[in-house]
Amino acid sequence: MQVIPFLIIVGLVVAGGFLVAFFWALNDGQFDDDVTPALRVPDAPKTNSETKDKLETKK
Amino acid sequence: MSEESCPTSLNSDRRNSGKHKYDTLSGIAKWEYLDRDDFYDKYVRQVEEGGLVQFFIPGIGCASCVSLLERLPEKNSAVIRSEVNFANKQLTVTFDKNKLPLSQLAAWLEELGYTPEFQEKTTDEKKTSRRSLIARLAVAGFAFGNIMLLAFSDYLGGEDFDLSGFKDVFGPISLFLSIPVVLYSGSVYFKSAWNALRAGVLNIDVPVALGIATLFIRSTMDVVQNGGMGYFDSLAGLVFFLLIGKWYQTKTYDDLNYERDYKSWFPINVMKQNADDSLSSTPISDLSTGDIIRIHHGEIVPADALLLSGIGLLDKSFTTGESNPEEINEGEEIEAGGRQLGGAIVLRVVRPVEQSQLTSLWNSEAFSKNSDRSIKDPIDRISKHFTLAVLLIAFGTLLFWLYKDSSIAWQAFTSTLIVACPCALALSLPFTYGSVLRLLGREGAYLKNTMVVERMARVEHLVFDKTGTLTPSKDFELEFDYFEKSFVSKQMKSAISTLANQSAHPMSRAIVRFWTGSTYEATEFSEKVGAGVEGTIGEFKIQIGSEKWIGAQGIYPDTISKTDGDFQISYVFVKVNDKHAGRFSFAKPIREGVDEELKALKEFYSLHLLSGDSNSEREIFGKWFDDNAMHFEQTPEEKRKYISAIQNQKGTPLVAMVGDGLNDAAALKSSDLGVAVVDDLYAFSPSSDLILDARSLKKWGGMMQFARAAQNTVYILFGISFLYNAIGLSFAIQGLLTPVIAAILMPISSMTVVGVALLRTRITWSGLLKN
Repeated sequence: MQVIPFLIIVGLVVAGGFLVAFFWALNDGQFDDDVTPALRVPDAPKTNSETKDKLETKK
Repeated sequence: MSEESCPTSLNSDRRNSGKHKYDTLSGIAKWEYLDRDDFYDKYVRQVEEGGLVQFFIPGIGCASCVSLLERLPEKNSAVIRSEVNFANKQLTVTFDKNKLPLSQLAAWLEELGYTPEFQEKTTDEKKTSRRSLIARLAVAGFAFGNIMLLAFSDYLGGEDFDLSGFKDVFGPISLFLSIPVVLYSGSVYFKSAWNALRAGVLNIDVPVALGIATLFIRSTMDVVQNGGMGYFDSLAGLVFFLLIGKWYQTKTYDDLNYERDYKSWFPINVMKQNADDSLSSTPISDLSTGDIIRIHHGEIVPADALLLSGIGLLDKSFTTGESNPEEINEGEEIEAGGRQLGGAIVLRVVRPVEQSQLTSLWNSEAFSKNSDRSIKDPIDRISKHFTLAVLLIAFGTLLFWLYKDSSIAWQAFTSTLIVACPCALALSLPFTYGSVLRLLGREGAYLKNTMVVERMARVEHLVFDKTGTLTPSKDFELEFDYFEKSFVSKQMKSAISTLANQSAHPMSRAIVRFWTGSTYEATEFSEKVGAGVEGTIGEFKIQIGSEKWIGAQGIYPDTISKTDGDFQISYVFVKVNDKHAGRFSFAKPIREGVDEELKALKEFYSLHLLSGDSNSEREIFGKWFDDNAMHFEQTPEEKRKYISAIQNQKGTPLVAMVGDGLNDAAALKSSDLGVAVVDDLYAFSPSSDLILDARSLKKWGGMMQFARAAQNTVYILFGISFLYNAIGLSFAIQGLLTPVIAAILMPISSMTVVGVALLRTRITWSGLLKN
């Protein structure tokens, strides 16, 4: 049972890591527009090679 | 916006038919001013890859619009990136200005069917405040979840389980997790309460801030002194739920910006004639008295100006509501805001944009909403008194116990504050009215803020404008009866349309729209006012006019101007080369469904009609309006006075003005509820409280009923909230309130309030939709 406080700390650290990841996503602008990405689905690349091409042209 | 009207689907039709339709100044010329350095700098931000510009494109309507616009880089290598924000109808483009000037980019977008508008305000601060709210919400949620997990042990711990060791750890951990909740997430409330107190007011955030602070301090003391767990779970939960309410509210308001800049009504630039007679595109804000400008067909006169040459024919329908254009002679002054029909005219600016008549009318102190009449939000009043009462009870309890048995004193004080926390109050408004705003928005009614719901619920008088509100502003129903079908050829139709094109009479304009393709120039043209027009187009000698003038008595069946139901039908006859060709029938109907709506509204409200048009339609409208409640040929000032007169009646009833047109802007502002009826949501938003899609006008009664139901919902929620508070307080002031009960009561009351709010709103809404 003594391990519980330790596990809690570990749990908090992991959860904290997710919180940090959330902030990163937030600052990256992923939460700015939650409507348009849904509309882009039909245009999404359908195969892996399409994805590769799309990523390359984006560069 | 339906898919049928989406430019992308129209585009394919256009490509197939080979037709191109350009308005007024076509192509590049209209956008030339964008290449000037000062404009470019105003709109374009320099980033690494090139210039970044943001457009507002009302034409964006569906997913295929998104798809098309985001493919611009594929079509032109000068465009590096193109991103659509669908909710705000914005397009953000990164481009290389050397390869593609901004003017060409804009012209290209227009050609595609997505005419861009430029917004002078950047929305960066909106973005950061939005992100900051989400960040605070995330922190509060994170803390809430984790603290709750730890708190379970405290709730559920039985006797045979020795938790003392853990409390020493869980307490400090909870405290640690709560610090960011108080200092970061909850800081909004502290700032708001502080500002209110500095202004000497008690707002709803004051007890909230006090509650948060007290919870935190008391819990900290509990942990530090008694080795307990404190109430950090309640604290984090409280802040979390409050922020959800705030986020929901912000999301609802995001959709529409109401305070549209008046200048965006006008073309941002005009053709200015320079000293050397050359023409240059000039922004209207740069116009000064004495400047010579050219206004083309269809353009709006941007400033009060003197007519130097050309025929002035001004459509003032959105300033006076009068659909018949006004003729202006050379040497006379033209007011800003009219739309020029007919040829190009040359004007000299008399008064720059700031001072022109309409802006001063609009900005006039006399027309800003009279603050005496602003509804003292009853909920605001209640919460003010409530706050005061709670504070009094809390401090009273504190003093009482300090005197009687000081060990209980602080417990009684803080638990009183906690349990009486009007968080339920704070939540009931945003959740209820936020739902109302969203649901109404789906039905085509867009409210400025939650206070509008209150006003909607309490209005007693409805004042309607006629043209553009009860009747559509453009779509005359037009039909053509052939005298002999084979006589009228396609070229003849174009010729007839061309002849009509010379005239500015609204019926002529309707004919031009009806039969497009006027290609011939008129070699002769004369208009006989009140009779008709005649002229020669190519090989045709055409006359369009009244029955008497054309000599068409008795030739066509039923050729009497008649009233058919709710329409007034009038006829105009056509003769080509002295032979009868046919007749046009015009019907100006009331908007669909509105006649029934008016009938229904008459039962509950006092209805009034104010119109800038002539008296001719008094009889038709007598069906729904009392004769003494109808007034025609009204000027904006008269409309405003009329509304004031009603407001000053006994009982100071609330008056709603339902109107259209900039001229109604003054009346809209002076009324207690200004409703702007629009056909095209983005082309028109004057300063009003509510923007109503014209197609939803027939649902107006139901919407007001819904607002009333929402107001009742809020009162019910207050009742529930008070109930919780009463029960809790009765325990708290006796010092009997244990932390568990306080902890349980608060989130339960919040959740009950939210649940009832959403549930009742949905039920009343679906009940109303069924009618």
